[in-house]
Amino acid sequence: MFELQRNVIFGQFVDTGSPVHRMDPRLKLAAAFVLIVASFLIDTFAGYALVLPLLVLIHVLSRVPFGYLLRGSRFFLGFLVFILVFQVLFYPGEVQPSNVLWSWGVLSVSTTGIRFAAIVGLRVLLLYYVTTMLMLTTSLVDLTNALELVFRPLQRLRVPVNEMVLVFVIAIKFVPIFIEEIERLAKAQTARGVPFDEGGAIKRARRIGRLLVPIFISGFNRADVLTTAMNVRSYRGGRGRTKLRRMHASAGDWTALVLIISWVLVAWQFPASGWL
Amino acid sequence: MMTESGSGRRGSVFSFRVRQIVVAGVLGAIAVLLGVTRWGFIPVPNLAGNATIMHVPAILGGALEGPVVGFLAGAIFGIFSWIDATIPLFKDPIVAVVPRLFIGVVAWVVFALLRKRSLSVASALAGILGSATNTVGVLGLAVWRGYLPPAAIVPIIPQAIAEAILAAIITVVVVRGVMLVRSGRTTAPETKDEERRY
Repeated sequence: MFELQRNVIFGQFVDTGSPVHRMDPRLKLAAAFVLIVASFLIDTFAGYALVLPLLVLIHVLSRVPFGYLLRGSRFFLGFLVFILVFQVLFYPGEVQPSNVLWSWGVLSVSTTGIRFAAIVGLRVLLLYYVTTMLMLTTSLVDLTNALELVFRPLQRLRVPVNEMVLVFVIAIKFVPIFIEEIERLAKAQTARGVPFDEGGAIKRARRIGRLLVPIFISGFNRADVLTTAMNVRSYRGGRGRTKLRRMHASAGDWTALVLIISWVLVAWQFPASGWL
Repeated sequence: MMTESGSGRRGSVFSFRVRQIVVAGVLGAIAVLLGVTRWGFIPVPNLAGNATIMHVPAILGGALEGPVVGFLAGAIFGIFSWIDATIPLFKDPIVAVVPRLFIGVVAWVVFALLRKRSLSVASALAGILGSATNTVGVLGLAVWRGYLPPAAIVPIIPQAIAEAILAAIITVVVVRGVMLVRSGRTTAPETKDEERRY
């Protein structure tokens, strides 16, 4: 509870100035999109094994400490394991009797179920890794600019793209702020005698409820302050706005994107037989 | 606080006020926060995963700030639950995002209709019906898209009821709290009659 900031890295930006950080944000977003699509398409173990070296390459290039990423994903990984166990136990599909390893009432463990859960797990891990790395290596200004450019065609249809991107970015930006705040609230309540690490599930849930109300109220207060700040600076969406820095994609950026696309295509189409 | 820049400007179908953008973003952040810390999940293991209170920010956005904020906060919740999905059901953006858009809108309709009568009843019903929108929307689409057999709905019903009750409790408490802070008071009213003040 008191180490939330260390254990949750959502929305953080770790600037190591690496080539991955410097990649043109539009192309980086495109590359991330390709990898996200890949997480839907690839459904063999061989395919994921092929994608792995690419991810290792990206990670080494980015110079983001792996331990940092791992520690920050603790909640997510714990939860994933928990869910996958239930996926195996309650596997809904058809199972041939010869594949059943163990069964008891509605619960059963089958090789089909294990394979299904493992693929789902890999798929989730890939998606999680890509989105997390995108956020760790892209500053919010870059992310905003890139998202605005990608969705610009929608502006023709009079969809308020800039505003929607801003909502999204504010949501990401506020998560670390709220995490800090929750930590402070938890410490303050502990100092006044609320035991946070004791009690059963229901007691714990009630204590979390006690943290939620102040968070909502302070959230509304912060929103008021930010609204005033933006109004004072005459924010009026993206119309007629100019940029201090223009983005430009280098040849290297394009090469990286093409490399990722072709790598993913190979992994997707890679012939896998039998269990793989 | 009420200076609205850009009201009445043209250029898009819905023109957002700055306040709506900011509040929707902040509420979306709380939904994401409940997700990344896993506090928003109450483990009720079954095919649909867990009971959740992650939709509560969308309900509050709808109730306190109107349909646009509710819609946007729901959109953030939906996008996050799609990105963060651990089960195949929510890997489908149609199931993960679309039903969530309507949570805040339904909450707004209910709250706006009833708030004159009683703030607490309005908040509670907004919470319950907002939750119901989420449950019915997600499960309905899940069955329609073939992720769940219709029979799988039955074991989820107790979880849905638990979600609705939790959402109702939190909505009532937070609406009261926010109204209190906005009214400039620092202590809770001593008699119930004073509720009329807000």
